[in-house]
Amino acid sequence: MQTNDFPPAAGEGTLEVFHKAKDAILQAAVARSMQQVEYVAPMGEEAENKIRAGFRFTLDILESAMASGKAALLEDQMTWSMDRLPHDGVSPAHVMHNFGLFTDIIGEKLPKKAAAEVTAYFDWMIQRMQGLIKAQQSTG
Amino acid sequence: MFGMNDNNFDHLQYFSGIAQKYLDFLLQNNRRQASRLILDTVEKGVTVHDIYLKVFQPVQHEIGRLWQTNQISVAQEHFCTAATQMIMSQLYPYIFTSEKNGHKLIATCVGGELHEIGVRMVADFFEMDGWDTYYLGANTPAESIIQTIEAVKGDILAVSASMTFNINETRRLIDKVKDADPGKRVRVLVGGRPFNLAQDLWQSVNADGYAPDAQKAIQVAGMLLNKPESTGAKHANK
Repeated sequence: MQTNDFPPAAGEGTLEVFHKAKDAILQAAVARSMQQVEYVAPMGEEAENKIRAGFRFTLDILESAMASGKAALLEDQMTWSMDRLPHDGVSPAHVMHNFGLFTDIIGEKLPKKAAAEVTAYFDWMIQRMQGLIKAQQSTG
Repeated sequence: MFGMNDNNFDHLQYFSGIAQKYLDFLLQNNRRQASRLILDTVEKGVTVHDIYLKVFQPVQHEIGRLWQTNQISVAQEHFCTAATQMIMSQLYPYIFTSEKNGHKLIATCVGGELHEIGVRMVADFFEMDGWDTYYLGANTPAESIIQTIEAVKGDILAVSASMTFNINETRRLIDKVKDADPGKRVRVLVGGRPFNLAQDLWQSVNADGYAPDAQKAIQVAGMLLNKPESTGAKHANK
């Protein structure tokens, strides 16, 4: 686990603006994700509901991890997602893609300083997810 | 009797056999046989503690793993959990027999948290230890919890959060409880998967203590009653 790179707990100001902007981030992320036909098509008719639920879950967990500064909370969820999400039609590559999408939207929705703090978590998650994908590929 | 007190008796093998049979019955939707198995086992002298810790707990973990890896559906997972909760209720004649020690526990899930079986097990362990317990179940609003603390004059409030995203809600609940007059005398103990993953997380949510399982929760609660300041993971893990 790369705990050395894990960002420190977010400041009160960042947590507050993130909490207030969470619904707007969610809406924008769902709308943008639905345009990615190659990822959305395998999820069928329930794609939008599944994506919305998954994104809500991601943002809520991120908020908890940012408040506590505990890498283990995100680590656990990412390991879980590698096991579970492929069965729901969401590949690890899709998850990585979504993290990138969140990074873009947060840059647009949050003030610069808060956006930098939140983006650091997504950078950590992207790096960690790359590690998990590599480990999975090497074990076949 | 099984000769469970014999030195040669293989407890691990015995309980893993019971757990496997119990899981098989649940996965076959055979609630009646699952119930019969547990009640017969208790009748033969196995303690309810052992049934909880060595049968229900590992079987619930396995059911969660089977869902996570798509080997059972959400509906099957819910059926198995509901069946175990029903069978726990059938064990109550064995649970509500302990001599009372005068202490009171209120056990609840944080608002939004639907996974209640763990904290229900915790409440039952306290009941078996002689506490009066008030189990409030899943998704309980803060105001109701505060009212209950006032009504029953609880000593310990046990709060469970299984899902990581409920951590912030746990902190909000604890802050509300401590800000309210009835909450000033109660000590708050937290537990659940996120607290097991990050063992000093309990301090970030302003709890007074943390325990990784039902048995340790009783020890930590005892320490909290005797020692007003915070008591946490280090104590609980000894």
